[in-house]
Amino acid sequence: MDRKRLAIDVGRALADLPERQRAAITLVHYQGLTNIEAASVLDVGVDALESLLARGRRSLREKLVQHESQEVQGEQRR
Amino acid sequence: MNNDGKSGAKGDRLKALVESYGADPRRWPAGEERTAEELAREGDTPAWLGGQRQVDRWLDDAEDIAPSAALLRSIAEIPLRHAATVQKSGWGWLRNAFALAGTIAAAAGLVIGMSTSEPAATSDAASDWDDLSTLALGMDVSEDLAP
Repeated sequence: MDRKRLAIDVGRALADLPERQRAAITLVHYQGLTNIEAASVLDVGVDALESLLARGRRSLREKLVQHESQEVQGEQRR
Repeated sequence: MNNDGKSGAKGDRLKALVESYGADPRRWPAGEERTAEELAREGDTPAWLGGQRQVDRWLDDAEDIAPSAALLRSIAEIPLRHAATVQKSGWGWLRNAFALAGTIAAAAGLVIGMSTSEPAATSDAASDWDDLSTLALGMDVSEDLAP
């Protein structure tokens, strides 16, 4: 999968996440907020933030692994 | 013992950190140096760690090209009461730039509008300032900016 396509797919997978999971990943991974800052923005405790992050990352992985395997299958059929 | 072969509270914390913040200890909260050392001691990469590194790569690859419109919207939706915190981060300049551009556009529009239109009633002008400042900054600063 080329990088531009991958970025689009990751963006779509992120957009499909529940809002708070997406916000947690955006704040921590892309904005570089500390866990305390991100938890404050989301009005949750650090434990809840970590739960949002973990569920978001797990869901992203499932979506992207599934997507990647569909891509491979599609290429094999061609 | 959990199902990945790691045992004890340290192993649980390592897994929780990696699952939440990724496999790069530089992204972990401060004070987790001991857990980072534990990560460095991992020999052959276990499956759970490899999977999390893959997620990190996906997220990083998306970041290298450009944040999507959806991500920028997420950033813009951060409540203003936390603006001071957010401005410390990498994309804080974007919020500042939007706010500055909005303020300049609002001020220019008002000056043009005042110079080319019939004099408005004082209460209408004040109302314009309310609307423009709210649009540009997301908050009402009309008392500070009003001519």
